[in-house]
Amino acid sequence: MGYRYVLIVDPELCDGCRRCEMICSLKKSGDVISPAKARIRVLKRETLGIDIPMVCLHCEDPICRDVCPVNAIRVDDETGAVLIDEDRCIGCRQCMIACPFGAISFDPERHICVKCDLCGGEPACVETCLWGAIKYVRADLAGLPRMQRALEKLEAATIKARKSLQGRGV
Amino acid sequence: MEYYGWAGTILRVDLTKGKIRRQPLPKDLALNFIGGRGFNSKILYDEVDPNVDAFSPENKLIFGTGPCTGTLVPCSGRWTVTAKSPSTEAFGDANAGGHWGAEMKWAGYDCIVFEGAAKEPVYLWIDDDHVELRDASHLWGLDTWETTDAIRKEHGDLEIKVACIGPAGENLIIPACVISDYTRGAGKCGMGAVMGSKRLKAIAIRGTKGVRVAHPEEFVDAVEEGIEILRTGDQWWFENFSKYGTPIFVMMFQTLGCLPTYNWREGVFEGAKELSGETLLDKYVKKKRACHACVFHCSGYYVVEEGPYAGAMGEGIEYEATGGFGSKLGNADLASTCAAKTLCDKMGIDLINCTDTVGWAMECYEKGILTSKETDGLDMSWGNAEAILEAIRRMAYREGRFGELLAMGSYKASKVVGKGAERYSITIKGQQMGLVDPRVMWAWGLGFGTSTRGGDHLRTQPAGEYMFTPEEMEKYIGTAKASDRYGWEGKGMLVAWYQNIRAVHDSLEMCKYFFRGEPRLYVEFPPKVLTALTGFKWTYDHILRCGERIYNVEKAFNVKVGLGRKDDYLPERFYKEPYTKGPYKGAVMPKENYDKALDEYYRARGWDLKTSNPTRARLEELGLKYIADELEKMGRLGKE
Repeated sequence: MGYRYVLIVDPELCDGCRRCEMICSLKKSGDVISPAKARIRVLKRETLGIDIPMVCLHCEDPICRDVCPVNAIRVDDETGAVLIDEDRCIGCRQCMIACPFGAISFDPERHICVKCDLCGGEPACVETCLWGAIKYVRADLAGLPRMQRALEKLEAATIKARKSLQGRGV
Repeated sequence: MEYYGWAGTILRVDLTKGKIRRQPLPKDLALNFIGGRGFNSKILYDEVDPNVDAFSPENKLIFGTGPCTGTLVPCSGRWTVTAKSPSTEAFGDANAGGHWGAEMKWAGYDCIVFEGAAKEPVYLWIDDDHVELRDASHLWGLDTWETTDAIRKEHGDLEIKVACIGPAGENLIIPACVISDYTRGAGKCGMGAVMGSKRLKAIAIRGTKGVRVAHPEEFVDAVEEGIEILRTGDQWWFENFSKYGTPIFVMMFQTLGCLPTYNWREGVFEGAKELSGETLLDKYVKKKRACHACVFHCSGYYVVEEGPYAGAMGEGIEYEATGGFGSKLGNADLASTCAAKTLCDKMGIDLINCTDTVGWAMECYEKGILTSKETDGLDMSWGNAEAILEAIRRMAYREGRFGELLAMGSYKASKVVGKGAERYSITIKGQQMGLVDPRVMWAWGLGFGTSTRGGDHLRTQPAGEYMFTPEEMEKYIGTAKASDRYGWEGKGMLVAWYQNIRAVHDSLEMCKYFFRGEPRLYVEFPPKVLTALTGFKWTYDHILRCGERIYNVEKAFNVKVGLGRKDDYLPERFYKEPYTKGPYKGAVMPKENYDKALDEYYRARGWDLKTSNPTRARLEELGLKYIADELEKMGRLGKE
């Protein structure tokens, strides 16, 4: 059995460029770039300097699945992705109401609910983000990047302190 | 017709009659003027009498997005606003980044043309196809942040994007700009004042229709290739510009000896270190933020947490603020430059115009031309940070005699004051200059002088002057000599080429920092990405020709106003007053050399050397026969 991977969002690293939304929209719609067609959305509170990519976090025990009256939503055993079966979906929007993150939207052209499907395991948003604000990482190591970043200040201070103590060395 | 890339619609808003109509985007316009700045310039030339007063209802205010706006094209978040300028009394435009332009494009509009003037304050609300003029009397008097908040609340949606004016624009002060996304200023040429004269407080947009891409796979490939060239080409630039943004220029210019100091008198500033990009990042920048689709994020979100300026916060603090309110005004207090930047954003004042106008007042104060009587008691000594902030406030509200004076901007104010005050107004065609000193940046200097919107570095921004190799110069500019930093030959040709290609960048509505020193990005990237995006076949030659066409249309507008060769010179200070210290001690820009370069420039442009008027041959080559006919009728066609 392979490793489980999860989507991790880091608002501190997000600069709010919205490239993730645009690549998502283009991939999912085929030829249109629009925030309304993207399954990820970067929300901003400009005067506070906040940018947050909002996207389905693929809950382990998703309410959207539980409320679906036609069992169109399932959790993929292998990847953990929460997926909507588009053929089964009747467009009742119960899942939208239930999702605590607003991560499900309605496609007015196809009359079904749509959401992030992790692009089948290679999320385009992750590939597009230049700064690592959205990562797709091994579940058991998901906290590590944040730990490493927390260490950066100590790291820099240590290097600075060592240098000032250094002689020529050998 | 249905377009890829472009939205396909020009929105026309008659503010006098309160009427809104839509016009399909003409294919000729799209293919020959690209978008954004190019569209705006053509519409202004064709529809506005160059001799109307900038504040009259006959002037038009045009907002434009480019084919790349709202797409994945890197650094394509810009938009342009164009009108006859109250500061230059000639052609005027300004552009800004942020996220508003993308929203306008997604709503389905390439241009929004405002005509006439409203009787009472209004704002335009665009929700895709739903377009409505709404009462703005409750917003009149609010600053730009309050206005944005109020409009978002009114519609119950915090993701709505707003471009608006503050008190400065309402009060028709010349340095007024249009602010979008709270902190993004379309600064040049007094566009905020034109908006105020039309009693248009804001344009608020929710756009969801999006942009269609003709060849999605090729498009994504072209975009990724462009980013790859950028990131692997000049890595130092990519890393440092991403980290510091333009505030890095303070120490770069200080070290070189050309950091504009004391109203452009000197090139080194004793307090430069306090103003450095490193200090800014260390003390005040909390997070990096990006404009739409940007791959750099040069912009810093800053907060001043303690001291007299605690509470100053915002985004996009850059060199024109830290250097402009810093060294240019002899001020080493970095926190105060942050506070001044925040105040300008809220009031809706252009930083460059503001810092230069305050700098002019400070030098006049030092020389005794302005005394405490004229300044209403304000001590305008160099480096007085409190006075700088107070001056900005009085400028915005036209408060007292001094506020009225500052509200004119340095150029017009200096004419009113007289007594030699004109000498200290560092302006070209009435417009203040970006913080690059022409004494030691010669191609930049020539670019300043020949810019179609008055003193401005961004019309040209000839980074290739120090980035291109002689081989690259030979290939793209036509002469290797242009790469000699301290030679004049080739600089006229370099500047003409740069102005044409920058007109393309502005019309694509891409940020110029994307291109900088990498010729492949200038030459190969735009045609490739445009072809994939729009479905039309674009070549470098065709694109460059579009840039030249746009530049000539703007020039022709200015020729009709009466501007000519005499107006293409720099302020006398740069020819006559050498630096008295620093690595470039003694440096001036020799005027006889400038003249030679100007000749070469006009030759490269196919314009008359004596008058600078465009010639029929070149105009017809560019498909602008009707402009040649009009200039001929006025007796202002250049001699071949």
